[in-house]
Amino acid sequence: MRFVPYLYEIERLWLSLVNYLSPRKNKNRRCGEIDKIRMVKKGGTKRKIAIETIQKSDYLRVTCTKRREGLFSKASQLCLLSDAQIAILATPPTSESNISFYSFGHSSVDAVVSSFLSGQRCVPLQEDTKEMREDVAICLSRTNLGLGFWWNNESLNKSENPQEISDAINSMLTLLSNLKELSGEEALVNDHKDLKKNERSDVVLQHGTQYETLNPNSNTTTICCVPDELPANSNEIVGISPNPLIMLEKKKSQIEEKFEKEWQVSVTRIENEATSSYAKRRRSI
Amino acid sequence: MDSSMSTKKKTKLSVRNQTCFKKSSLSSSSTAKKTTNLSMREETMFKKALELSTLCDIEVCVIYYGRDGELIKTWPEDQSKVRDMAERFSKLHERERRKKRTNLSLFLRKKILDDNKLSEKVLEMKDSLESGLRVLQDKLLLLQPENQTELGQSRAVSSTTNPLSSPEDHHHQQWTEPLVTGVSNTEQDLSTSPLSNHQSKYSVFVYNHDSGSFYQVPDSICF
Repeated sequence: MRFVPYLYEIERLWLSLVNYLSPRKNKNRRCGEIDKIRMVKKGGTKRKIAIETIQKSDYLRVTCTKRREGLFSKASQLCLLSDAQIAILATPPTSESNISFYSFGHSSVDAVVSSFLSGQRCVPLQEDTKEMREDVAICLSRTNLGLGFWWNNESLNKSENPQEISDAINSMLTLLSNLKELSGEEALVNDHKDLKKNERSDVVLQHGTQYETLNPNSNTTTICCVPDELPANSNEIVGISPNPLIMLEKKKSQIEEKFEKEWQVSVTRIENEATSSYAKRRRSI
Repeated sequence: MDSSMSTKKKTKLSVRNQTCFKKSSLSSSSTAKKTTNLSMREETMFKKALELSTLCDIEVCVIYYGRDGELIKTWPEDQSKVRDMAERFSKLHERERRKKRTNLSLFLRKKILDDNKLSEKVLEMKDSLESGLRVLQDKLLLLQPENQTELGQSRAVSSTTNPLSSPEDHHHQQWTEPLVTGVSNTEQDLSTSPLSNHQSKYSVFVYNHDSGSFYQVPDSICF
């Protein structure tokens, strides 16, 4: 009588252990290493999809676009890390498309494909080409991958060769100008996004038309000429529609007032700074 | 209940220990890390190509040459398929080929413009670039008079021409920069229509102007 309940308890514990361990094993097979940690902590909600053809055309198209970009991204990282030359060709998801191939290549798709077809080896890349040095995007991506900036290279800092140093300085100046250009491009993108967020499309369009007319005048003449343009613009505003008229006038007057004040302040400061810094550098030289 | 709790604790600890061990082994040496990463990255790329072709029912081919120009691997493994696709690509007209064709520079540029944290990265890069530029310029000025003494008479002529040209370039750059930045400033200020953006640009300009030297003023204006 005493031994029977003892054995029953052992069997129950054993079964509970087995049930506890088995579903975790099943789950672990589906997830990656990072998800393992998450599974232990939070019970995990991520699931990987089965690798089989997607039936819905909308899902298929979106998946195709995203995964293609992902594949190109992986290839670009590999190119930066190992100086490899890669070409990727992909057909569009539907035969009705007017595009024959989506392609990515480094050094270029044509070069790699022609080398492959001819059976010859690719021309190996030079490690520090001028184009690679002076490309902002490549430098930033290398930093993200942990390779660092090329101008912080030890060999460059320790070298005593004036030719090498002057070449590096020229490349850095070119890179700086490219960086400013990229910043300008980004500013345009941001402006575009901000314009989209505006509540009324009419206001947006009218703003665009107005400032387009103002821009060439600002290039040729001084700021004093800006108020002279007021009557022409006011006539245009009256002709378009009465409702946004008041809003436009208020915004325009506010902008002009701020612009004039800030412009005067900035001009004086720039002149002072320019003269002082020019004198300093001339003395040093 | 006690036994189940003890098993839970054990599993947690074991999982964490494994991950720590793997990380430490990876970081043991940089060369080993790099090679391991590279081979894993290659496998990842080919795996992603497989997934893409299977999921979207399209044809994908990858041609992978190493740094020395040797053909390392292709996907699919069967080179006849790759060759077939490559031939179709090469037979296309140039205009057709140019559609949706991208290379490393263009792809990375587009990727960076889509990134929302661009301004931070750009500022970091700019600061590093400017500091490096100053260091190298100072070093170049120090080196050039030394080279005059070291080099012979024939080379002395070329070395004398160099310092004459470089300071002129410096003067030219400094002199032209404020005018160009002034013009760009007017253009950008006029072009910005929303008030918030207008205000933010001025605040950025004023702040940089107070803290930095003249060299940074045109940069702040450009933003």
